[in-house]
Amino acid sequence: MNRIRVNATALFLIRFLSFIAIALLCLILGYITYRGLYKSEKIESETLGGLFMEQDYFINTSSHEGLRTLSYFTLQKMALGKVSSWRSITSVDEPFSLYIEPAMVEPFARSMGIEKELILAGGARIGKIPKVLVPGALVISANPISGMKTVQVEDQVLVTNPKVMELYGNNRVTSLSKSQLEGVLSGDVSSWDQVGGPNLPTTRNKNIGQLSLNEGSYGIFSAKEYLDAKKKGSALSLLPTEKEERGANLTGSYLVAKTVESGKYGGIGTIILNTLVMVLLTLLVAGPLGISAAVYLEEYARKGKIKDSISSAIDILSGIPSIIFGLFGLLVFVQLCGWSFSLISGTLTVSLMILPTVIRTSQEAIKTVNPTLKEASLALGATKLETIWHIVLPSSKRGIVTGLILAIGRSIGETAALIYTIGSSTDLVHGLTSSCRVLSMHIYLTITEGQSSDKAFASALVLVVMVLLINTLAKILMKGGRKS
Amino acid sequence: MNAVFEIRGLNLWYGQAHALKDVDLSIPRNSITAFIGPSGCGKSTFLRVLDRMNDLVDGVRITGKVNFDGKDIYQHYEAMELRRKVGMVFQKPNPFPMSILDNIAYGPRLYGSPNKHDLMEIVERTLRQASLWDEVKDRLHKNALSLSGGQQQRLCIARTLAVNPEVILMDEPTSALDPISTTHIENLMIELKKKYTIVVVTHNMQQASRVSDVTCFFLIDEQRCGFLVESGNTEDMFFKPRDKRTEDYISGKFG
Repeated sequence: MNRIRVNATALFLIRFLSFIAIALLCLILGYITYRGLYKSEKIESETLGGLFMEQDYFINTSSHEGLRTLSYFTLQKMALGKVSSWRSITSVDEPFSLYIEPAMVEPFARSMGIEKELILAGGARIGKIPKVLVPGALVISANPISGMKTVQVEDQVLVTNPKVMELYGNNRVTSLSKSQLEGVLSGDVSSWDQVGGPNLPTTRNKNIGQLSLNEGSYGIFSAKEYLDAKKKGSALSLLPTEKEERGANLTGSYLVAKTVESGKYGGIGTIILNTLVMVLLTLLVAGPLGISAAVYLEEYARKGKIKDSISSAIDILSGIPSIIFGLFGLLVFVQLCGWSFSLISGTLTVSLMILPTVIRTSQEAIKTVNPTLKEASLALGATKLETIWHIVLPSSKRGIVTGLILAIGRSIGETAALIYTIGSSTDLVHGLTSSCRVLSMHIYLTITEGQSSDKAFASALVLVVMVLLINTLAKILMKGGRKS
Repeated sequence: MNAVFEIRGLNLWYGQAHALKDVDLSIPRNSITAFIGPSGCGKSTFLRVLDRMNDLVDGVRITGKVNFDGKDIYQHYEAMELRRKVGMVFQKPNPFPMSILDNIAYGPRLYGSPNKHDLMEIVERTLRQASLWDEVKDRLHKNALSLSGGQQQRLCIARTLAVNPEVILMDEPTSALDPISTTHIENLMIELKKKYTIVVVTHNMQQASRVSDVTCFFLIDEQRCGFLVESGNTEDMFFKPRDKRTEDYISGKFG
């Protein structure tokens, strides 16, 4: 009875553990997919979300990205001609242009709180709106324009007495998260020290003129009111709030667009191409070298100490962490050969890294060739080379190709070996000695440089899909090999 | 009947192990010579001396003289050259994993680039010689592995014939085949000896007596070293052996 109970318990335990393992893997994959597909980065915003300005005109855009709202401050900058590209707004590097119907200049300038002349000086095109507009145009008109999206303006801001945002001990309030804001508005947060600020009571004031009198007071006003009050000399602070960005993260344009500002804006079109170039070159270097070495070891090398030591050296090399290959690449290719951070330095480093794998898998494939086939070929008077070329390599083709594909999978995701060798230029690679950023490096750099975690996850999803595709291909090939 | 092979004082070692001792033998032209003997007596090893297939094994050392057509096989021939003239058929059928046609064409293609017409001529001639033509003529482009075991073995014989050898060595060519396929191959051997010299290693005493003209009997001594007991006309060997050990073996007292 005892044995049976142990058996049942063990079975349950094994099932439980395997379930946990599978669940963890699904969780990771699901998380990467979710973060890759949807934006979920929290950004600090000066305006409060969901509250829009009343306006006497319509704002239309021909921007392709899902732009629905603009901040009042951004629109003001646009009106003054200080915005030349959409990249900091939609992250797509489209040129920005502003068109205003003549009758709308007056109300637009008034709501922006700036002089008409400043808008004219800012380069806005005033006149009849052309029928066909370039992408990236923003049009201020009396009526909505068909075929363009209408944009609303967020203009409500959280204004406080400057004391609230002053340094207090080692802490200060720099922004409020969504829940903190709700707490302040509902009165659950009765003192600013509950959100990391000074020990002042939170009191709401409807009159912007009185905010400067009460040290802990705050209020929600329109941006124009805030700017006007500041102009009059009131001491006021604007407390930013955290806002979650929504919408598609990995879009078609992200896959093809050029990278802007090291991955903060734009896409990864050139980086995907760079990755493909690097992988192809790696294959061109490691493939012939690895297969030749495998043929030598399996077909020519005599059994003995030399072959054994070569074999164990290959095994050791395949177990060496890739960062050490990177270090080697830095010392030899980058410095000694003087190729600096370049495609060729990176390619050679990764080639060396995958070489042991290529040799091993090719060796295994060659080993499976039936020795009687080799004998048959030799017995017909074929030379060793002819036998290898006509019999051994064709028979082990599938195994060798599978090994190469797995090696591609490894090199496509390699980062450590590339940090010191391949460089980080986001331009399309234009020569062997040009610096070249690949996908894995791009993910690493966007995170370490703090550019954007959303962008990093979008790139990560692309990389995961590429690796999965490659591994599936290898699996299909392996299955086909077993059948024949 | 002049001799194709003249072997004098042949000794062979695998590393330190003495595997064949003092073999003297002449193999006559256009006849079938059968090597018989218990397992491990060195008859296959000896067969592989004749087309220098033992060269491929690490640590093999050979002394003595082996003449092929009057010339020493180690001094006057490159191994490839010799193997073209001395073809070999193996124990298990081993067609290449390609089409029937490509199997036959493998040898001829090594020695030049025959045009399509010549190649088809070779394919038809050799397949007819191997009495396989009628069975496969409609599916020459099918994979050779789709044939039955007996057909595969005949294909291997046809493949060997395609490079015009003088001698065909057969290493237990029927041991992996069923009785009907075996009969096919045996008839084929008798047919082929008109043009070729055949040397066959066999475990099957009946086969040796049915097909061979000359029989050579091998044994191992106490040091596990193979040696040739005697050789002679098959009829003499089977009905009036000179050596007591031959008689015992043939009558089934041991082995």
